[in-house]
Amino acid sequence: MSNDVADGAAAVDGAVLRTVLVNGIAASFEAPPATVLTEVLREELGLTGTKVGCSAGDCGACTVMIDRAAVCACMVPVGRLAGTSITTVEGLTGDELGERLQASFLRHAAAQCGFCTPGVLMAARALLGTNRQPTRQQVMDGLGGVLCRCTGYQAIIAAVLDVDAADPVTVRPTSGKAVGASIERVDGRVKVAGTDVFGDDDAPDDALVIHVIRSPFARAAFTFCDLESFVSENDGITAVLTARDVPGVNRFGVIAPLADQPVFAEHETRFAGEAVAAVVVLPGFDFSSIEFPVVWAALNPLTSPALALHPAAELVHTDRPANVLVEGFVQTGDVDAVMPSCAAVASAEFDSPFVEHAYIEPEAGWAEVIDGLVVIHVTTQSAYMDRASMAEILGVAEHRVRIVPTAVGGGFGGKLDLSVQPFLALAALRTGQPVRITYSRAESMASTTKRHPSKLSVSIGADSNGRVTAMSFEGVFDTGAYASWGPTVANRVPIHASGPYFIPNYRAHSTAVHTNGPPSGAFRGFGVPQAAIAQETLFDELAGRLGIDRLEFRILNALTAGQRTVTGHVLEGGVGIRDCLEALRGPWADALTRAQSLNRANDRRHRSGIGVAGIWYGCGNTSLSNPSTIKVGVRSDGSVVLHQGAIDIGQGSNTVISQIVADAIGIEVHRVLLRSADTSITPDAGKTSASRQTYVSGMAAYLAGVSLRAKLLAMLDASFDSEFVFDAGVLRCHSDGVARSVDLRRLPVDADGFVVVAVESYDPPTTALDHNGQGTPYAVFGYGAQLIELSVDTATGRVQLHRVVAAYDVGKAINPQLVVGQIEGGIAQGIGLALLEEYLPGRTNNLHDYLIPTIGDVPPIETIIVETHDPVGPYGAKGVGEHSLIPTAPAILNAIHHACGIRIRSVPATPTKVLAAILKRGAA
Amino acid sequence: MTVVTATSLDEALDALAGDPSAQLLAGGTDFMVEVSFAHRRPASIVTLRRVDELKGWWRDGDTLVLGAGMTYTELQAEPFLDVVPGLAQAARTVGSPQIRNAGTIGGNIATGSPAGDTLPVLVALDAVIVLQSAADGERRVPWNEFFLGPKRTARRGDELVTAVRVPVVHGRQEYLKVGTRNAMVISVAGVALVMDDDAHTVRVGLGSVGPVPLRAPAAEAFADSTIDWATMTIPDGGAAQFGALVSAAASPIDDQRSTAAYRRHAVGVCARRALQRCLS
Repeated sequence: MSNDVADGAAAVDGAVLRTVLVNGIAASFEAPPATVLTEVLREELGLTGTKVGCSAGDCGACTVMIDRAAVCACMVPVGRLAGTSITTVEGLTGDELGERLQASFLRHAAAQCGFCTPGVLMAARALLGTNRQPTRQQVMDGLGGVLCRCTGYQAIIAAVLDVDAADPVTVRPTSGKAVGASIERVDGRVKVAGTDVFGDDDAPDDALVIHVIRSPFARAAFTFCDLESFVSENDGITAVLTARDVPGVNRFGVIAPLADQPVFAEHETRFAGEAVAAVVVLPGFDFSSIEFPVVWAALNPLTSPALALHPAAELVHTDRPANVLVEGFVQTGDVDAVMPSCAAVASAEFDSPFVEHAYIEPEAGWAEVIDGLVVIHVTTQSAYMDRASMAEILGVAEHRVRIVPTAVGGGFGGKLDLSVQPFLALAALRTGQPVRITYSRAESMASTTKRHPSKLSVSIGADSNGRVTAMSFEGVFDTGAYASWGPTVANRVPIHASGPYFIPNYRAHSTAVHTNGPPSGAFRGFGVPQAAIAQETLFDELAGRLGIDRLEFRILNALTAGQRTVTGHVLEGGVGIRDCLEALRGPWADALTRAQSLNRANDRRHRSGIGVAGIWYGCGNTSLSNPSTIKVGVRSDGSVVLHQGAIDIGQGSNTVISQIVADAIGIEVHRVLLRSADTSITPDAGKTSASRQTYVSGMAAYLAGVSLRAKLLAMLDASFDSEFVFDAGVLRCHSDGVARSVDLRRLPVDADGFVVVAVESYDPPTTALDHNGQGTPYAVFGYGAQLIELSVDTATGRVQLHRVVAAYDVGKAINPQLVVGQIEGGIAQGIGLALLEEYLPGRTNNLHDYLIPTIGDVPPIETIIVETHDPVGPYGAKGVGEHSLIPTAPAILNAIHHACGIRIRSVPATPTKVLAAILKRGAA
Repeated sequence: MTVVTATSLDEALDALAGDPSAQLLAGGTDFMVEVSFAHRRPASIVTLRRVDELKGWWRDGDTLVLGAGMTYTELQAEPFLDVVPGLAQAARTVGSPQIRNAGTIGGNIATGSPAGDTLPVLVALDAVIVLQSAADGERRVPWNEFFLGPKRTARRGDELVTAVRVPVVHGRQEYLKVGTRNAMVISVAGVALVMDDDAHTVRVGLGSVGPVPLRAPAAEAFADSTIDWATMTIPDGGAAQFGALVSAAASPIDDQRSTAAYRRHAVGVCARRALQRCLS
């Protein structure tokens, strides 16, 4: 018999010394045989390229090869490894095919956040090992086990198919030509190498580990038993933290006046997954079998806004009457007078569920205290907001907290709120030692924010010529237990619910209602995706009733420059919705013909249909200041260093901001050295949200670049349009036939190491909205439209997507390849919203019950970039991050109706719902 | 936690005889998840991956004997595509390549989840589960006496599923399932259909529509007597009626993945289509 001892040498405390072959090198470690391979690779062998996304085989981020076959390392007990050979992403270096794959991934921008990239690469490498020239379908089959939440998979497929590119081209624009060039992501190489450092990747070996104790009930009272003996009686437990241990204010929130979320609940929890305590343990201590001394008393929760709005309902927060957090309102013209006289009116009610961000990287980080400074390394979208909140919680000045963002493995709005930061800071301060925490997938899903569930009641009327004349919108949003970004959703939705159309008579009202659900917060689109479902599907109904082609109906009503938006804002230029819709005319006609011929050819069970939807989206905060500051300087050796704090969560701000600043200065972009976000180094570039970084931080970068250029040329006494070069430590130019130079090495050096520096800020010119929601809420809007082709299996209710054509007005594509990546990724999330995703608190805290799109669920996507120059943005650019997601769901629902005549008004349109609607229609 | 890494069948059986509560670990695709999520903290584990007797397959006359340690990746390839095509198709639909490289048919059987993809095929083939224990040696249990409830089987704690015996049947086979996604599809309803061209019988196994994998005897009898075996055709409406009878045999439940009504309907659609494919 072979027991613990037989596998290797002697048993050490149940662990056995094992030797396995990893990337061709014999590696030794001690571990019990049931230890999972991911833990050994990451913690014992330091091979952190292999990521952990779910620990259940659902996401594939941990894919490695064992004897050339792809497996999920999270499900491999090390006891089975004897005699095998393991290859991880680190082993691709030096492997000819592996390096070709990595290069192809870089060329195709197949890595965005980079967190799933090692798993994708290993699955692809295993596939190519057995099938050197796979077809598109074979690539999709081979990579079907790795979830990517950023890319929409199209770039990944292209990269694998193009692995043998004969003559790959590297884009290296010359000075002044970076804007508009699809340069390789500046942070791409570490992502394909698996060496980028994410939240769980670089905690010190001796860091203590934090476990959070969370409420199993949506609402519960609780009491702790003897916590002091709990600590003293368990050798591995160093400390317990509860609300009493919060030195400052036990409240946080992204909108300071409404901050309401405790780090630790005080007497009662308000949602399932809320923290009540944290336990700090020694590294390696097995906490899973420890019973924490808390007694719960479940209370009756409010599980829906309908219950919460009932006059007799208890209050989730005693200071918020009727459980209403906030309301939003926009009104113009006279809806009540005009609606009754409309030639056609379409009205309906819509609803949508909680949706989970499902970034593949769970929340993680580590912290230490250095000379009284609390340093928090964390995956986050908002370093400076984190710092401000942490200072409040700790009761210290902001300069006593430093946030060092790690690489962020996807965010999509879910990493804008605090998650692990308070636990890390409190534990580091209490113990005086480095501490770390990584959420499990279940913990991440239970405790962090969601997309707001919505219940919408909408009417839209048009005249007999097809002009939309009136719209009313009433929306109730389930904002969950805490405020989070609920006010942002409530305020943004009434402005956007008109869609990118001219509607002279308009009234939109929204209410954010507290329940005992998880806090609803920011999620790509801030409520606009839900509203667009209502408006865009009702537009189809109106077009149908008026006998107008659905695309032409939208073109007819498209907002144009000089028209008033529903907030009375007259956009002078850069209104590209009509351009986007018109760009779809050709594809629309082709798709219509294709659907008709397929429906003639198909059996009656499979019906083809096409749909279209348009969107607009304001970039930046709604009517609020949201400045960005960018610093760029020259060191004495002539190198140019960009301090850019716009956190790159995969969308590409590191690259785009570099491109803008390079052109503004007038140097080659490859000369720009990057310092990414760190509150002790980079100035505040605001949060990565609201599609604001390319526009707002991009403007700050442009201004800083221009300012630096002006300073350099002033030093040379040359005119602003002169060309200059850095010749090692000497700045030189020829201007007016005169050779001029400045020796940078003789100039004084500042604290950042700069001899010349420019710091510039930019804040979008917006105005407050009046009581009717009238004003200038955003300085820049982006526009887009999507066309979907699909078929419905009317016997099973399964919807199969065949093709998406997306036309987006981005003003100016700073990096076209990254723009396409944003669009493809947004569409994939829109597909999830439309067809798959419904988060049920307590029931779907994993990625096999909560289903996000796989590589098989995203069809080929064709992107048409429309560049309607924006008068405000940098080089005319607008944002696109959120715009990309919004039209997908309504376009799909419209196509489903076109295919088989049913109207789904409750997403997701699962086979179960689609079939029920088909059967109901058949029976009617 | 003690872990026994068995390197022979006898070692595994001895370990189980010594501790019948031991958890068995083969591919790890079910069990390691439970360990990671700390749902289960078994006191002892017997790992089977290095037990050579569980690997491979052989013919025993007209019966195919599949070792419990065979992975889905092995089962989805030749010769099984020819010999038991329904099983190969079912194996092909399990999870992802990563899961198929690790998970085993023995694990699918011993776990006994109603959604287990190979189970409808095994029940349609009238499979016999081979169990062994140190005390009693080999015990063969027909599928309908083996699957007792959701994740409940007739395996005693001291027994190991060592193989599964399925007849080699001459005729078409199909496995169809409905799930919500196009990859990593978890079955919401699944149907295996086995045609026996010699005996002129149709057998159908159903997954995810009951506490255990089911057969649909009324549907089978209907098909046996309605199909024109000479021309391999069925009269108009016959396939639909077959589907309706399969739906009637289902006893599904509502859960977060779907509703009972949907499952009942979808299993009938899959059955109708499977029959149409086998007759096309």
